[in-house]
Amino acid sequence: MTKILGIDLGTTNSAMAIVEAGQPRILENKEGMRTTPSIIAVGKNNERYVGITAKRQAVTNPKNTIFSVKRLIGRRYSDPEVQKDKQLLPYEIKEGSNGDVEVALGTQKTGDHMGLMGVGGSSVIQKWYKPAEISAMVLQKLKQDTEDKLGEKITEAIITVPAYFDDAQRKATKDAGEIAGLTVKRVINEPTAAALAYGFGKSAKGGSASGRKDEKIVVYDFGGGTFDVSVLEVSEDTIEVKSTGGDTHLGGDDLDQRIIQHLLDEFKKEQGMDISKDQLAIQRLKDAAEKAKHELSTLMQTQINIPFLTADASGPKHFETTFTRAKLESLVRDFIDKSISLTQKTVEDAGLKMSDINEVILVGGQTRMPAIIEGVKKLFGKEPHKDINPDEVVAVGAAIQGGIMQGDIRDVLLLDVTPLSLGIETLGGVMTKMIEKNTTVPVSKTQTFSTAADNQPSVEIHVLQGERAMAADNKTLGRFILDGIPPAPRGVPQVEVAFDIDANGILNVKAKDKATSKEQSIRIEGSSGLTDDEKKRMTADAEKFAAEDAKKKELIDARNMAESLVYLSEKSLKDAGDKVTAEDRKQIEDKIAALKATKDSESAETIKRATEELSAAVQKIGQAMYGSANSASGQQTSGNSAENPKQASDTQQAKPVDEESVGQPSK
Amino acid sequence: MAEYNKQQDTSALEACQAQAEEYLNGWKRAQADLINYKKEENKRIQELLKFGNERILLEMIDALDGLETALQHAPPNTDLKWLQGMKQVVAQLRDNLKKHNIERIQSIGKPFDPHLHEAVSEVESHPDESGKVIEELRPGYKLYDKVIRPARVIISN
Repeated sequence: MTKILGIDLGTTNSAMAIVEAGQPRILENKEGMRTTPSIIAVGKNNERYVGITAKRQAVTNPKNTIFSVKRLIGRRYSDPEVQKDKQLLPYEIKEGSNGDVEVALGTQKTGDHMGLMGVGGSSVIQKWYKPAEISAMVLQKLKQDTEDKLGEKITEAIITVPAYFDDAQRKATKDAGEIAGLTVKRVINEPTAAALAYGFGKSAKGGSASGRKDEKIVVYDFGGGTFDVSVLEVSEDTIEVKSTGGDTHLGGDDLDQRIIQHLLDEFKKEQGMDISKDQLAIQRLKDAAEKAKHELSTLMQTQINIPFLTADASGPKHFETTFTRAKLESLVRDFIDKSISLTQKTVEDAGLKMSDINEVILVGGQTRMPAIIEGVKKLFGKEPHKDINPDEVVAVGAAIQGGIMQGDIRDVLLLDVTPLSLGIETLGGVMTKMIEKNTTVPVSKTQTFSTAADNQPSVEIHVLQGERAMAADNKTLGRFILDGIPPAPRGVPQVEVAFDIDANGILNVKAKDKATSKEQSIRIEGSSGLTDDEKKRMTADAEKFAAEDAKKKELIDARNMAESLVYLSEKSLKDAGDKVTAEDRKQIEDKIAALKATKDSESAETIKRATEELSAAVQKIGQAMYGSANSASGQQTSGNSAENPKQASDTQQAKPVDEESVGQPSK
Repeated sequence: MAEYNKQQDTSALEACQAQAEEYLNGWKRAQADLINYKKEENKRIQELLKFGNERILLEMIDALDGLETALQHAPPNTDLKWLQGMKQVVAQLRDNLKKHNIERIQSIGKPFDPHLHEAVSEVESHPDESGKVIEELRPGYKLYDKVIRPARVIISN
C-alpha cells in the first residue's frame, strides 16, 4: 500500500507529512529541514534551484527567482489582487493567452524581453510558465525528497489551500500536483487540515464517542507572509467553512522588518551611524532580529550582541542592546491588534458571537508569540490549541486526511492507555511504579523485589494506582499476601512481581517466590474505571504535591538506606568477630546507635549525615579483615552493599507483612 | 435433537476462518510495524547522535566569527605576542570544532553554489571571474556532509 503524502503548499514555506502506522509524521527534506521555502530559481548556469538553495541566490538573481507564486495561482491577470502584487514582485509576470497569469523564468540576455514559451530568438532562453507549473516544481522536490527518505515511490497526495481559494485556484493547485506526477486525491482547506490534526471532525476514526456535535472552531493562521482566519462548523462527518477573513499582506515578515528598523534606529542613536545601506550589517541585524524574536517567545528579555557590526574611520563599531518582550510587543502591537479585530469580524461574518466558539486553533510560526496567544485567549475567553507545531499542523492534517481516505487511520486498532500509573507499595510506604501512566495497553512488566527483614515469611502486595510518591496518597486497587517464603536474611529472597493489563483494561498482578515457585495473584477489573474528573484530580494532585512528595520520598529513601546500613553493619561486626579491635568495635557500635537514634527523625539531612558517618566507620571492618587475613569471602557484604543496599539486578525491598520487622529488622 | 445443518456449520466455519485470517494479518502487520519502527528509530537515533549538537556547535561558531573578526581588526599597535596568543586561541577553537566533524566551507574563488553559499550581493568584475565568489563575509560550515550554515558571500557578475 503506497503512502499518501500530505502537503501544505504555503506562500512562503511548504511542509509535508505522511501517516505511518496510524500516526502522522513530518518528513524532513533533503537538506534536513522540516519546512521548505516555496521558492524556485533558475541560476545563471541554467541550473534549477528549489527551496533553500533558491532562497540563497535570490539577491543576485531577482528576476529569475520566483517566490509567493501562490498569490498568482489560478487567478486572472486582471484581478485587482494580481495587479497589486505585480508591483511588489521583482520577477516579471504577464497576461497569458486565456487571461490567466504567466511568470517569466530563465536566463534572459540583455535587450530581449519577448521570448514566448521558450521559442524566442536565438539569444533568448527565457520561458513563460503558468503559476501551476512553478508550484509543480516545489511539489516535485517535496515528492522527490520524500521518496529518497522513505525509499518508496509516492504517487498520491493531499494538498491544502486557503479556505478562500475559488474553484479556479483549487483546480490550478490540483493541476500543479498532477504536473509534479502526483495524483491529487483531494484538495482540502488549510483550516480544515488544522482541525483534523487536532482530531476534530475525524468521526471516520471511529472514536466519535466524544459526542462532539456542530462545534464551531476558529482557526487563526498567522504565517510568514499572510494572515488568515476561518470559522469552521464541525459536525459528525463534515467540516464546513462558515466564513473566512484576514489580510493577505500581513505576516511574521512584517514583524521582523519592524524589529530590524528598531535595531537600526537604536544603532544610529548610539553610534550616530546609519547602516541601513550596509548589506552585510543588515543581514546580521536580520539574523539577530529573528533570533531575538524567537527567544522572546520564552524569555522576558534577550541580549542582542553583534560585535564588529561595522566600522568607520575611528575603528570598529559594536552593537549591544537589551531587547525586552515588552519592547517587542510595543513595536508590533498594531499588527496584533489588527489580526484580533480581523478575527472578530470574521466570526461576526459567520453570524456568530465570540462566546459561540467552542475551540480555537493556532497555526503559523508567528502564533508562538505570547502576546498573540494572549490576545486570542482574551478575545474568546478560552485557551487556544497550540500543542502541535504551528508550522507543521496543516501538513499533519493533510496527511491525516490521506490516512482517513486510505483507511490507514480507521483500521488502526484503537488502543487504550492507562490513565494513571500502577504500582505496589514498598518499604517505608513508598509507591513503586510498575506501569507508568499513558502506557499503551496491552502491556506487561515484571520486576523482582525482596524482603525487608531477616526470616520474613511473607510479603504483602498492595496494588496502587496514582501519581503520588507515597502509597497512602494513591488509590488502593487491591492487596494480597504471598507467604511461605523460606527463612533467609533480608534482601535474599527474590519475589517476582508481574503486572499485566490486557486489551480490555483488566489488570492481573502476580507475585512469585523464585525459590519455591509459590505464587499468588489478583485480578482487578475496571482499573481504569475512573471518571474523567477523578483522573484529572489525581493528576492535578500529583503536580500540586510534587515538591512535598519528593521531600517525603527523600526522607523515606534516607531511612531505608539507614536501616540497611545498620543491618549490614551489625551483621558485619558479628561476622568479623575479634578481627575488629575493641576500639573500632566501640566506635562502630556508637555510630550504629547514633544512626538508630536519628533514623526516625524528620530531617533527611540528619539521617544522611549519620548514615555517612557510619558508612565511613564501618569500612574499618573491611580493612581489618583484609589486613588480618586474605580470606576475602566474608566481608564482601559489608564493603560493597553498605553503599548499595539493593542487591544486584533490580531487586528492591518489598513491603513486608510483618510491620514490626520493618522497625527492627535486625533482632 | 436439532437437525444437523451442514451448510450453516460450513458458513460459520468460513466466517471464523476469515476472521482468524484477518486477525493474524493484523497481528503480523502490527509486528512488522514494530520491527520497522525499531529500525527507523535506530536510524533516527544515529542521526540524532550525529546532528544532536548542531545548535550548540552553531553558537560556538558564532563566537568564533566574533574572535576572527576581532583579530582582523586588531589595532596596528597591538602587542605581537599577545596577538600570537589570541591567534592560538582561535586555532584551538577551530581545531576543537574540527574534532566534532565541523568543516569550513571553501568559498573564495570557487563558483557560486547555493548549496554551500548564500549570496548577499553582486559586483562587477573581470569576465573570467563571472559567477565566482570574490569575497566571503561570513564563513560557512558543514557538520559531516550537512551544510549547517552557508557561507555568506559576494559574487561577481
